Amino acid sequence: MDKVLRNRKAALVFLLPALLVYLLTVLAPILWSMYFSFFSWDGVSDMLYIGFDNYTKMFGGDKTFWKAFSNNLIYVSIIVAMQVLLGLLVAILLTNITKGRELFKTLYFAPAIITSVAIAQLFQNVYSFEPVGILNFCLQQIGLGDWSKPWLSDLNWALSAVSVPEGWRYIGLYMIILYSALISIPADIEEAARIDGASSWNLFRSIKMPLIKPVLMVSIIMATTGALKGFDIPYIMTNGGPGRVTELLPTYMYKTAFSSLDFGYGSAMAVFIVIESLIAVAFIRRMMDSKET
Amino acid sequence: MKRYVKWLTLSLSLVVLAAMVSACGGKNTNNGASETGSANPQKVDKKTYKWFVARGVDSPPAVTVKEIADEFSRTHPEFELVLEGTGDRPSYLQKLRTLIASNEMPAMFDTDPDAYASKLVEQGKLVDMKKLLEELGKYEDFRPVALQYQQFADGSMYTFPLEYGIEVFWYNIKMFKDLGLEPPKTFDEFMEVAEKLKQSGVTPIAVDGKDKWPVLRYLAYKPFRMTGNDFIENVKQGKASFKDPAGMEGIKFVHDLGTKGYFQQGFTATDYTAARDLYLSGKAGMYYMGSWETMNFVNDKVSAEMKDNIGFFRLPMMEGATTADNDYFINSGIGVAFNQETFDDTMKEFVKFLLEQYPKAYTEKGQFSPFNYSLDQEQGMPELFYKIQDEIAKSGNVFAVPWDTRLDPATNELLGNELNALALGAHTPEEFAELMDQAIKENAPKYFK
Repeated sequence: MDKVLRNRKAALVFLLPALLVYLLTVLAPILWSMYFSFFSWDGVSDMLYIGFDNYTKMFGGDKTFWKAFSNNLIYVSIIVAMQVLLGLLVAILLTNITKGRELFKTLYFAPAIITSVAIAQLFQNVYSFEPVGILNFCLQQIGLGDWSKPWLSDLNWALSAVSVPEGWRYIGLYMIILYSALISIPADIEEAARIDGASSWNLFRSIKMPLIKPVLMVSIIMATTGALKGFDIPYIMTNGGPGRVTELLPTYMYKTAFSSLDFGYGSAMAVFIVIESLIAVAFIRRMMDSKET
Repeated sequence: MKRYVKWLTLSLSLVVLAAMVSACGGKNTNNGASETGSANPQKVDKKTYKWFVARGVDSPPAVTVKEIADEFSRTHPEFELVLEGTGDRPSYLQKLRTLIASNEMPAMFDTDPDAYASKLVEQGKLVDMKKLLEELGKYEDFRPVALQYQQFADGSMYTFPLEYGIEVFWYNIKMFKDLGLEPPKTFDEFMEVAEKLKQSGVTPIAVDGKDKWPVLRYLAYKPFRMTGNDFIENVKQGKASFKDPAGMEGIKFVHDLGTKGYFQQGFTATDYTAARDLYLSGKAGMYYMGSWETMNFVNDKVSAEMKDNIGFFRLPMMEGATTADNDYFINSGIGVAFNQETFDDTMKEFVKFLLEQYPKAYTEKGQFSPFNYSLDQEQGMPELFYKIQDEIAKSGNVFAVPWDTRLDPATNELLGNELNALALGAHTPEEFAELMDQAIKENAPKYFK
């Protein structure tokens, strides 16, 4: 068997089925969307070729599109901050304890396996104002009753409110990834640094951070692309409303295609989301790499 | 040895490929077998008809139809009706439209006579229901309004109704009595009542903002009182403007209700059952909803104290109204359409059977049917049921059409979203009118020629 694994041709042959599946399920739909994006089509009547009109509309006159785009950036920053920063913090704390480590790991990871619908329902109850939800109840109990508000209906707070559940949900996932990276650092490096008199902060900044950087980069890329296609929780909780304050590109794309019945324009947005994600990945790589020098 | 390994890898990869190819092709051969049914000659060929239901498969209309279909299958073993339901309207519509776009239209499905349905009619995909009902001699059995509601603006009809409902403001009798309030007769009185309720510390109106159509009703009340359905029929095509008096009155009404805090706080995130619970738990004074809720207001889950406190009043009047006080939102629910392609003799016979059995079976579930059929006092239904039944008998024959069944899909989508924002004070009424006029200008030409 060892010989099979070393045989390059065999490896190529075995890669083929996965590649086929990948092409069919990922690349084909993207190309298909690109094709659709040049048409005006409502799903019933004949398709009408309109060239780049959908793209002109998207970049030119559609205010909702840009509103959704800027909402999406805020959504991404909240989620990446929560998932990677809080994930890293929890991972570091975990490396410092021995007792109950498994318990904490399980508890933090639990939300990652709950379905989006359940999480959306859960947070709807947390944010609820009438009947009073947990968050508002707690605020009232600690004397901050003035701060309590219908979070999901508040024009200024709704976007943050729908971002938090998605961020919270995957803290555990990134905690596990970063925790694995942290414990894979050889103990002797740490010991050597301690002997040289490094403080915990110095140890973390100058030794641990550079060593886990590749993993950190992957985490940031995963969190960013995950948030760029963020859909289910905001869609279930507020459906993009009130008005457009929680509209994200994917929810707007979905509604344009399936509620407004403009499949062509929806496809143009889908293409935009793909390109935007690729740019984001390239951007993050560039930033992380340049830090090294 | 080396050669052996090479053969092994090659044959293994072939097996994998073969498995994949056969998995792809396998589905087709299976389908072919079940359609011809030649493998099993003794068994009767079952024809499965799918009904894609917009109201949840446990709703009274769906349950009643299913019961009748099962009974029909006993005499017609080849017939089988399968229900697939989604209670949530937006996702139902999205799923249905995706199915139709990919050429998989179900045999029966629920739809309003909206702009999308008229496109389907244009393509010749739906069964002409008016013709069918006349052919079966059942046209006269229906309440006239029930059938009118299912018609397109030109009078043609491609869906048939399963429900019948009037829409009223339900209110808390005890709460009104304690505060010395009377059920309002005009919109001015309505605002006064709401203000008094608010000052006494209760939520004046419970509303389901998440589904959007309940808030949309509030936008339609005043235009209906002022112009009947003329305003919506004109404005949807851009022949009238939201800046016209009728439009502005409607917009200001929603803006006032929202910004004065007459809807419950956070109403945009409140769903259907939560809004109803708010009213049923005595925390809100008024709740606008159709008569299909009647049995939910008298069942065992409602507290005894609340059960006797449920009253209702009609849509208020206003000065210069052109519609009478017994004209209001009356509807026969989302209708059922039949796929022209799968509509065969068996299906036709089933429809005939259904029309004969439905009125009695459905009404005895405590529902109001679209047929000329009512229950008398001896049947022992709750008091509220008979009160609503009387009210239905007294209702006029001009009825308000729901705007979401009239506007084109893209404008409708925008309207639902922005209306909630209007009620939260994010737009001024003028801005909102401008926004809607723009949307109509952009989208309506694709649907109304």
